[in-house]
Amino acid sequence: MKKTLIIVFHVLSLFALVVAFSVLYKGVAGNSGIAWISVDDYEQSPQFAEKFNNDVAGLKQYGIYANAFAPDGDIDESVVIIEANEGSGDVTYTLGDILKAAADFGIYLDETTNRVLLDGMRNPESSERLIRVNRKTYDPWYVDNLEPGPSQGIVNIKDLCVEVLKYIAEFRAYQAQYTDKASNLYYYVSYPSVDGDYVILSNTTLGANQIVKFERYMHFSGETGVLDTNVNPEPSSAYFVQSSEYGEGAVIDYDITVGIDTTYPYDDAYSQAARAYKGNITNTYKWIAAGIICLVIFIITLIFILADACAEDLEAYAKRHAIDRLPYEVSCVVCAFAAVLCYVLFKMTFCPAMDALVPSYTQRYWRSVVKVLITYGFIIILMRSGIRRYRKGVLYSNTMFSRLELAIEDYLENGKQSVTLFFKYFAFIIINVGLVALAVILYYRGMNGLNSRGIIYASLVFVALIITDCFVYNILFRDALQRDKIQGALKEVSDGNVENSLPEKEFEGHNLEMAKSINHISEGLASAVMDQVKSERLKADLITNVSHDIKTPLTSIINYVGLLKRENISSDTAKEYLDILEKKSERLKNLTEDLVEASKASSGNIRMEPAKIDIVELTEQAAAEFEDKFAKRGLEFVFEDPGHPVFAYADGRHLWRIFENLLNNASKYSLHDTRIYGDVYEDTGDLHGLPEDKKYVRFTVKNISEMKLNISPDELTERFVRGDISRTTEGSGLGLSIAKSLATLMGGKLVIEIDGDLYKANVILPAYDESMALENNNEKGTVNTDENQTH
Amino acid sequence: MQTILVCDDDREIVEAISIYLEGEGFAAIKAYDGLEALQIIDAQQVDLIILDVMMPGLDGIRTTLKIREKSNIPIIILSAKSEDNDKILGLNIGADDYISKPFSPLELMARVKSQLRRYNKLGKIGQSASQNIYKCGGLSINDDNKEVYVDDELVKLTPIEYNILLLLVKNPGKVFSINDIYENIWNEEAIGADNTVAVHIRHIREKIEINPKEPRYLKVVWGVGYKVDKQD
Repeated sequence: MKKTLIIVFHVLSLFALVVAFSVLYKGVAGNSGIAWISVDDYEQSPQFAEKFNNDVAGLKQYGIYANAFAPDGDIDESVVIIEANEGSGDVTYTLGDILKAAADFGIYLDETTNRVLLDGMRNPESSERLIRVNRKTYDPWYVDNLEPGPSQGIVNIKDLCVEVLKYIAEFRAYQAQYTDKASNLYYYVSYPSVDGDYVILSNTTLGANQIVKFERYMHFSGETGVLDTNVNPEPSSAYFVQSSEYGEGAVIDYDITVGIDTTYPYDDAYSQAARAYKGNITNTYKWIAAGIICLVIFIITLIFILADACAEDLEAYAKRHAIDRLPYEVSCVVCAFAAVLCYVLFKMTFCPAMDALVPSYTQRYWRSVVKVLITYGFIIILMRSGIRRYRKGVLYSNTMFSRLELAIEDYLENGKQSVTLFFKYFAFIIINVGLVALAVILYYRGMNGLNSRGIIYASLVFVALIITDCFVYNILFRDALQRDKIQGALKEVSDGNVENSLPEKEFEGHNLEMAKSINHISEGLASAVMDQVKSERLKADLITNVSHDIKTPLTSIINYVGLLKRENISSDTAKEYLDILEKKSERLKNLTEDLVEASKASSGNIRMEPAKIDIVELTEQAAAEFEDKFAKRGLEFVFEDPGHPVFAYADGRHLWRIFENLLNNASKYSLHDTRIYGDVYEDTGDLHGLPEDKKYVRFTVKNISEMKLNISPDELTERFVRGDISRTTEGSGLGLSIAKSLATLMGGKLVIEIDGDLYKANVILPAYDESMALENNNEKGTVNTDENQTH
Repeated sequence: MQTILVCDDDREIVEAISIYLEGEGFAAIKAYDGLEALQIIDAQQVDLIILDVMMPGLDGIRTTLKIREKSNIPIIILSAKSEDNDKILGLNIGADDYISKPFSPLELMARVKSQLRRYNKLGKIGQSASQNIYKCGGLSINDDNKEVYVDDELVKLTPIEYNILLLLVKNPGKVFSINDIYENIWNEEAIGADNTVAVHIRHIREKIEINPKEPRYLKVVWGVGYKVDKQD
């Protein structure tokens, strides 16, 4: 309700403002604006000057007509008014001739209304008679107006009659206006007559000398062309159009003197205007005041209307204002179309009625007023929409420009690289070719003197080209730099290093996407690896704990078996059983220990303290340890000493465990009375997938299997897998698995080869070099502690 | 009669060890947790303690610490924990020996006797002011009459074994490689593969060690050589 009221007030104040403005601009004192109100006296005002000027013009015209139509005071039909060529020769027409011809055409002047009337065609065949007019006495500038050319001055008689009658009507009007004796306007006009005399027009007995003594006056002499007046601005209509290329007859030696008696003894147009003048000033002030009030109301209501748009509930209004959903530019275009449509409708409906409503000379003005109002209405709509958009934060984002920008950006950022590359490269080429062409053109223009600054411009364009290309290079370089980083990261991930993540701040566009993806992948891998390590640890912990729990009852079993054996048992069978019990409990003991070790080794839960180890020495030590076992089965251990130490970088105790397991297997599974070969090499041969940039040493055990080896080498090193024969013998089946895990933990590898009955175990270990010792010392200080190195 | 305290939360193990101890002529006192063991030690004369680690209440480690506050009697720790770290911890806090379960009862007996001999006769040999007696823990070598004693028991070694052991004991802590030993004993340059030295050392270990796989005196530094550690 309040809102409606405000809008009503706004519209009303707007109309009032328009009316006030129009009155001030058009109404109160003609087209004179409002500057005049500072002038107190009417005689000094522009209105007075305008009126005076109009009268001077009228008097001037009156003089011309009087000279042409009534040189002796009354209309004289015998006066020649037109000189012309008709067909064979020159003819002259008197006023009487014209009037007669006009009467023939049924054209006459109505005496009472002073208007030209047509009363039907009486002599139709003469209406098309054409004559070439050379001179019109009632229009001294006629010759000047003639357009040069073959049809110059050709007119038909009928039109000429209408024209003459109209001029006569005008003459009569002037005559009526200026021959009134009771006038404050005094004039004295003299014209050179057709017959050489001067036609004198005056409404007073006062001469020209007297008239210039009035308070406001003007005197113009056609002879000297000097205007003497105290009216401001000066009545410019006093001047005749001087000179002519077409006829000297146009120069008229006339004299015009006009004066106003500002005491206004008579009640005429001047005295009335002088009286009304004061009132007009007051009225103008009133209108100004009214206009200001209207303006204030207008502005206040405008503020309210705009503020209303600021206060609107956005959600509710967004539904009601369809215009808000359009992009802003589209809204503007729609409004412009609507405005044009409104104006066209206005023209179609109201313009025909305008003649009746407003004077014709102000129609243009009113039309522009209507245009302004319509435009204003739509601007208000757009402004409100703009305010709402601003508040919603979509003023920029909901424009075609912004959408286009976003679309381009989106395309460049997310489009297919191949396609965007094409467009980018295309743009780059266009810019380059364009700038080069421009530079070349400017340069040649400069060289040929067509453009004095051409060379300077060409240099500037060339500099711009270089800057552009540097810029493009910079972009490409940054892109390449980012790609390099991504490549590095990818290599790291593929090498299994998933700890480092790429800093996403350093990347843009497609590279950012790639960097994110790589980070995602490495995170996933890292967590997978972590999970695996964790689960291996858990498994190892579980096995360790379980084995602890097994060991305690096992201790009892072993102890009591021992106690039982000390009893004096007479039965041989019972003794045999006890032996079995003792053996099996011993095996169970080994099994639990191996189990813990195997789980730890495979989960990497063992601390390695690598040192410089001589494999030859170790082999000899190991051979000594196994001497008895080998001898028991008639086996011979053959070891060819290379004659010099072969150093590996390994944990001695764990390496011994590997040797122990391998030799143990050899002692258990070799064919009786065969040889077991041990070999130590510095040359490594096939690395079986170990990194090739390092040096290795190798220890090999070869023996002939007692049983058929129907199992693959890979399977042998799995946990709990043994050749068929070992099922029934002692051993946990974990020996090879432990050895393999330990070798891997030391950075080496255990490789089993089977060739028929030939069983070959290769231990590949990292070779020792000085840098390792340094590294080791830096990390841990001395290594050779008793606990780690001894058994 | 010497009194030995056996402390383990597993009653059957305590029982079995007691039987073995009594069989060897010791008096066994049984305790089933650390607190009980401490009370017994306070109440009566004990010559040696066999202590389990994982026990309810006061565990073996803390019990050992408590005992060591007032007494230096031999303590042998028995534990299902066989990791290096566990052994190091046990020995560092003051235990004299560490045996991991499951153990051989005979080995346990041997170690008990060894500890008792050392504890009771500590310093006696050291007082004999002979320059030619080399000692390393329970091991002593009398170079005058070429006799070797382990925990006061005479061990018979061949001349080469004796010379090797003497070389190692004379240089405690130093690691000798096979070639070093060979050159020292045989006085000639070592050439080519020969595991004679290694075999001799294994034999020495079998003679002087209770458990040759876990030697106390003659230690193997795998891939480097052999050594005898400095002991008091």
